[in-house]
Amino acid sequence: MSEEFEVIVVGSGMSGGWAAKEFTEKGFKTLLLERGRPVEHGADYIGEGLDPWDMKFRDKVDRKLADRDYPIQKQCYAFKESTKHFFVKDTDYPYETPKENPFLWIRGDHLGGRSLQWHRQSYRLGDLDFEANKKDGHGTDWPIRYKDIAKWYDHVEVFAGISGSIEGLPQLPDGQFLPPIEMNCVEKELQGKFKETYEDRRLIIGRCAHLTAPQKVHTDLGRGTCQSRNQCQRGCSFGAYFSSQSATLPAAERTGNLTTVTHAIVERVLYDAKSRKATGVRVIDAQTKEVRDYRARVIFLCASTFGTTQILLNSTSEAFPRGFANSSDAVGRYLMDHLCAIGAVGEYPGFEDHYYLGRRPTGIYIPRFKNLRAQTEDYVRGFGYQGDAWRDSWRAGLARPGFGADFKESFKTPGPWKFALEAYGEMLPRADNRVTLHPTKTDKFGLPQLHIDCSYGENDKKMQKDMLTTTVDMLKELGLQNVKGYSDNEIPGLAIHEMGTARMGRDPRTSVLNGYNQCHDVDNVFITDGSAMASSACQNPSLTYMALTARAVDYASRQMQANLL
Amino acid sequence: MKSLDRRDVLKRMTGLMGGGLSASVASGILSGVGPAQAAAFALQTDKHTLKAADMAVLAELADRIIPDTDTPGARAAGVPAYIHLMVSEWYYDDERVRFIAGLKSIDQLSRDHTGKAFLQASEEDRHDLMVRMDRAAAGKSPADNFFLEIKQLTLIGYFTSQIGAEEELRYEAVPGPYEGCVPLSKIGRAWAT
Ligand SMILES: Cc1cc2nc3c(=O)[nH]c(=O)nc-3n(C[C@H](O)[C@H](O)[C@H](O)COP(=O)(O)OP(=O)(O)OC[C@H]3O[C@@H](n4cnc5c(N)ncnc54)[C@H](O)[C@@H]3O)c2cc1C
Ligand code: SF4
Repeated sequence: MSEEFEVIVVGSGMSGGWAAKEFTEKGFKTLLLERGRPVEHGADYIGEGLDPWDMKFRDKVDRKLADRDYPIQKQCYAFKESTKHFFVKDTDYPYETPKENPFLWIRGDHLGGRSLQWHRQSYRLGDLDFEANKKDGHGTDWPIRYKDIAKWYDHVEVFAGISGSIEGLPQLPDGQFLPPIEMNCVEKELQGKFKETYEDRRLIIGRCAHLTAPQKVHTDLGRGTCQSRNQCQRGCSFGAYFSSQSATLPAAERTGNLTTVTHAIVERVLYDAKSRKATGVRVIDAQTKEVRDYRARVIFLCASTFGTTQILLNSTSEAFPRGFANSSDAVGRYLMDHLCAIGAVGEYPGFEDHYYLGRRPTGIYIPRFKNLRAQTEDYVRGFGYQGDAWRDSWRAGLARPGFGADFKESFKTPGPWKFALEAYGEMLPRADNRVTLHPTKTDKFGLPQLHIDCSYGENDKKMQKDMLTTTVDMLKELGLQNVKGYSDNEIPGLAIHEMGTARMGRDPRTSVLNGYNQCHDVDNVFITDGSAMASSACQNPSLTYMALTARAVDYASRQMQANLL
Repeated sequence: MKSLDRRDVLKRMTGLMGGGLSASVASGILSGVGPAQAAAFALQTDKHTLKAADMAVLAELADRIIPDTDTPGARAAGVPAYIHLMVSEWYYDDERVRFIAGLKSIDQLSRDHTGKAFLQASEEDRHDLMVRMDRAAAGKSPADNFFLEIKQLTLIGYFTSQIGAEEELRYEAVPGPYEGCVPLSKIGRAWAT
């Protein structure tokens, strides 16, 4: 079977949904290929609205099942009874790592990808980030600067609906925000203290993809106001957070130009050496294992960093013996995640007669303040913080002495205010952090398994050290009591921000993509998921994938209209 | 929110959001959480690893940890059944063996101090034994102290039950727009979730 489309988009997650929306809205007949099952907005959110007592293990995943089938996914904080159907069964999705360098690959393979389970934190990168590689020599120079992407951030923020506050900080550019979500009493107080105490540190409300005041672009798609359930990862029928299901896919569908095929595993990109163009993709049907080809003028790979890397490495031909569009040998290299799971928590005295209403789906954010204007640390780049203040409830009292009526009564009063910060640090791109195809092992579809070899480098380790001491010192300086630092995670992957394995760059000899996410080697193939990232910055990356995607589609569509593609 | 009125609340929500939800979405959210699904999660288990006598001790301990007050206690909230489920299905074999031995040790302790099995001991003696066990649990972890283990299972089972969450503490399935700084008196009690 062979069918013709103008554009093929591979993957329906965060970036693929955007590619499909932008192309179909411009009038292009677009085929969206997704390896996972269909997930219908609302109807398939089977965990939504369940109360704890509705679930056998009170929203914990059956431990024996988790240990047996989900040994990797279960390590993700969002893996629960009410969400587990949005995580892959590890036993069905094998990959390899060297013993000494484990990597945790958290994945959701279904229509919508991880846009369903993400935590919705959305921050722009700025010139501090786009210029960093050039300035300190780590990684290849980004072929773009902030001015090239700013209007595309605007574009995706307006449609996605990002709530946040205007701050005027050069290291974290402002955007087109919906009203910010409120801070609680202690966060407001600490916000003031930050300003008084530090010249260069700001505490702001987390910027997140939630509709605090839906606009027409949102309500036209049936999206409504966020109701502070903070159970978003179960799916949200109100469409109150951005996902492919709530936003990009319905927008693409209403154009009449979208064809979506699920259970369609893209095995390789098909290449014609004579025209030096890709002609289409080969797909394995996940249900029947039938193999079929689809053809199109332009192909967008949005299968997630590892998904796309797997397709590229598997698409070997005489012209590309090392993998598709890989004359640079950069495909699979320069893998980055974020440095995370390091932070501190303390108690904040006072405000005993204050509380909050609702489970806020975001926290606060502290933009990067290290190495801002000058190199001051023994490492390059920097980190930001996510955190929040809250009052303890019953879970904090599990070890409390006592029993009986008074003991029971003691849980009625919320505990003291606590405040916690967790650092998210920039990881440098290094050639040795590398994804390859396993020489012999395959998955159940006969596709070579990925072999992921990733470890922290010298700069990363120095920064991790400073992340801990800086957090602890800062909380003490701000008047928190019983400050406890923690540093849990030696295993990369759990930040779930894997990126960089088909990086953008100016030089085709050292990078895979040009400034429009277009393969240097093959001009009708674009890659706009996380693999395109030339550096990781320290901000949550998905908003940047969205903006890069919209920008790349704009460029590709103009080239197509001019018959250059 | 009580499961009976959940549909109403969700319907209200749909209205509140300006009727923006499509029919399929609205029906999805309503059918997705219907009684059929709740029934599938019935908290009982087919595996009966605890004997009636063990269950009686367990229920007594749980109810003394969280007794009836102005709100129902652990027994009324189904905590014994929850603990039974955890021990029967969540626990690995070695953990279950340890737990059952722990339950038996309660009777032994009671016999040592009162000459009677725990459930036969006087009200006062039972209370004294609880005090003794609670003191001994200080600074221990649930894996090496049975009393702490059953106490934690009781607290978790209770506060994640409908009674514990909604009657003893405060619970809202759909809180509505977030308010960051309100008088505690407006909320009244600690949030269950
Ligand atoms: C719990 C959690 C919290 C997160 N929090 C945040 C956050 O707060 N902020 C943030 O910015 N990011 C966050 N992320 C990360 C975010 O989800 C990802 O960055 C984002 O989804 C990546 O987009 P993508 O399009 O590259 O890939 P995905 O969204 O993963 O989509 C890729 C899609 O491609 C499909 N696919 C893969 N291979 C193939 C193939 N061979 N053929 C066909 N289809 C294929 C997959 O099935 C999937 O549907 C979080 C992730 C998780 C899991
Ligand atoms: S917090 Fe908002 S986005 Fe998340 S589930 Fe609730 S209503 Fe939906």
